[in-house]
Amino acid sequence: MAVESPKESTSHSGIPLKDLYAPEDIKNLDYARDLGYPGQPPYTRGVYKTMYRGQQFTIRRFTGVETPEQTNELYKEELRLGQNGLAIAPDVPTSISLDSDNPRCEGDVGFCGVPIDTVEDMETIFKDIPIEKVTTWCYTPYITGLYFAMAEKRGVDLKALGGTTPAMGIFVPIPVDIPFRVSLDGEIRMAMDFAEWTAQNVPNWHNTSVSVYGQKDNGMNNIQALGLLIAASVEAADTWKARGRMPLEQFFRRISFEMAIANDMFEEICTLRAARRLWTKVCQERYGLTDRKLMQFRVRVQTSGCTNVAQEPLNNIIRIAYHMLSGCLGGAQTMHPNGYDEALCIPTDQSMLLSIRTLQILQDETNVTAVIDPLGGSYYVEWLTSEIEKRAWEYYKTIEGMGGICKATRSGFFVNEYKKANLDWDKKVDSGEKVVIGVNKYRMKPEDVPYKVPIYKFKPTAGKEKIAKLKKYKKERDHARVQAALDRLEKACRSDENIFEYMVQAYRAGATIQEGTDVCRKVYGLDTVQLMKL
Amino acid sequence: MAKDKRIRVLMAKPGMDGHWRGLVIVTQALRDAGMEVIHGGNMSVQQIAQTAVQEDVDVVGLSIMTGNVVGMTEATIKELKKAGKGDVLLIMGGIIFEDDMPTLKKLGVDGVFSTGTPLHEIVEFVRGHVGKPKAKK
Repeated sequence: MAVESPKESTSHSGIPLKDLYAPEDIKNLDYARDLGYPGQPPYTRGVYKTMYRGQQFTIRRFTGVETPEQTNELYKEELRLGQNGLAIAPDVPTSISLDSDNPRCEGDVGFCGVPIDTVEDMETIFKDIPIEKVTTWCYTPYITGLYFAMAEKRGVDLKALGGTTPAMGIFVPIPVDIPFRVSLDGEIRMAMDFAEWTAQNVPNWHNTSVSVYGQKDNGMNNIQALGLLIAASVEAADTWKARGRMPLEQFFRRISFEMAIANDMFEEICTLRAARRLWTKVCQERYGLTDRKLMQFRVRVQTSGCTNVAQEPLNNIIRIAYHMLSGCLGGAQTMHPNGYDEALCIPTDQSMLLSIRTLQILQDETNVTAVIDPLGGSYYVEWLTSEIEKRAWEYYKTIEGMGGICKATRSGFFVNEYKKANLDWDKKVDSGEKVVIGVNKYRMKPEDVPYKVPIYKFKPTAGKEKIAKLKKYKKERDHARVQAALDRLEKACRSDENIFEYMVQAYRAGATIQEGTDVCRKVYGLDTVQLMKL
Repeated sequence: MAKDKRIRVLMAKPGMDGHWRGLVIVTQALRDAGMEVIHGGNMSVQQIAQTAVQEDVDVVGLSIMTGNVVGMTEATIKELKKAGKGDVLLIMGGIIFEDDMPTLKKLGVDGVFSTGTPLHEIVEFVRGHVGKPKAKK
C-alpha cells in the first residue's frame, strides 16, 4: 500500500525529522572545517588518529556490593573476565561522605554499593589488584583521597596511577538534594585544590572531569545535557583561570567527560560527534588554545539507567547492546553497560558476565570497530550532528545569559528544568506517546511472562557488621595522630593552602571519610540550594 | 471520608538515597488528582512518623530504590505505630523484589507499585482505599 505523506516524527530531544536526508541538507558542511580527519580538530570524527584500531575502548563497569571484601572478589572476577577498567560504586553514605556508624545512615549501609569509611576499607577493596596497571574511576574527591592514601600506604608511586574523578561535576546542577553536602563554594574549593594537587602528584589522573550522566537519567534530553556539560566545563575552566595558580593549559590536559547513552540511536551517536566539535570550538575561541591535544573531548558513556525497566527484564539486554553500539559508533573512549537486571536489583554474577561479554562481542565479533567513524558522511548523521550542536549551543547560551551555571543553579532555574523534564517524560510514557515495550505497549500480566531472572541477594547482616568493624577501628587507632591531622586540615581550609593534600594525609593518619569531610562542612558550611523541594 | 475533605498524603524517601525521580513524579500525579501532598524528600523513619502525625495525613507513600525495602519499611511502620499512626494507608514504590511482596503485605503495606506502574493506577488505588480499615493480614 502506497502512503503519500509519511507520519510525523521527531527525535527524542524533539528535533523534527524528515523521512529522508539528501545532499541539500548538508550543503553548508565543509569537510576540513566541520569534520576533519580523526585526531585533528574539530575532532568530529574521533579524538585519536587510529581510534579503536590503535586501542579498543575501555570496558569499565560501576561495581560495589555490601562489603569491601566481596567487592574485592568482584573486581578480581571482572579483571579475570577481561574487563580493563574499574569503577567504585559507593553505598549511599559513602557517596555523601558519611560514616557507616552515623545514626542517620541506618538502613543505608551496604546498600546500592560498597561502604568505605577508612583507608583500611580501600586496602581491602584493592587487595591483590595491581592498581598501577588498571585505571580506576572514583566517585568524589573524598573517595579518591582514600584511594590515593591506600596507594601511598602500599608504596605505589602515585605517578604510576591512572583513573578518573568527575571532580568538576560539582558545577553541574544536580537533580536531587544531597543531605549534608558541603556548600557549593566549599565543594568548588575542594574540586580546584584536588585538581591542582593531582596535576602535580598524580599526573595521569583525569582530574578535571565533568559528568552529566545523572542529568540525562533524570529526564533531560541530549541537547540539555550537552548544553549543561559545556556550561559546567566553561565555569570550571574560568574558575581555574581566575585562581591563576597553575597555567590554564593544565586544566585541559587531562579533562574528560561522562554522558548517559539512551534509546534514540542516531541522536546518541550524533550527540557524541557534536560534543567533540563544540568542545573544540570552546577551547579555541573562548580560551585561545593552540595545542590540539588540549581540545580532545574524551568521553565515557554509560547506559542510561532509566531506559531499563522491570517488566520483561531480559528486554534490557537488547536495549543495553544498542546503547553500547551507539557509543561505539559515536567514538567513545570508555563504555559502561549496565546490568539488564538493574530495575530489579544490583547486578548478579550472571548479569555482570553478560555486561562484559556485550562489549567484547562488539569489539571482537561485529567488526564495527574496524573503520573509524563509519557513519561519517551520511546525510542524516551529518545533518543531525549539526542540528544537535546548534541547539546545545543555544541551551548553553541561555545558561550563560543567566550569568553562568552557578548563578543559574542558585536562581532555582534548574528546579523547573528538571521538574518539567521528569513530568514531561512520564506524561509521554503514560499516554503512550513514548513507547516502552512491555510497559505501555504489548504489556503482559506479570504472571504471563514466561521467565524469571535471578535476583541479587543482600547479606542482611552486612551493614551491622560494617558498623561494628568501624567502631572497633575508631577505638584502636592513634587518636592523637588523627586529631593532629584533622587540625592540620582545618588550618589549611582556613588559609589558601591546598586542602586536598591535607585531606589525603588525614585519611592516611586514620581519619574516616566523614571526619575529613566534616572539617569542610564546619569551615565552609552546608549546601543550601534545595533543588527538588516541590 | 467526607467528600469535601481533600486526601492528605506524605511522600518521602526513608534514608539518604538520592534516586528521587519516582517520588517527584508520583507526588505530582497525586497533586494533579486533587490531593494535598507533602513532599518530604529524604527523611529519617522517625521524621516520617512525626510528620505524618503533625500533618495529619491519610496516606504515607514511600519510595525505596536501594534494595533495603523490608528493613526500611519495617522501621517506618514501627515508628508510625509508635506515633499512633499505624492506621494510615501505606503505599510504596521503587525497586521491590517480588520475593519480598508477601513480607511487605504482612508488615502492613497496603499497596506496592514497582517501576513502570501507570500513574492512574496509583491514584485510583489511593482513592479506593483511603480511610477504609486495613485488609486482614
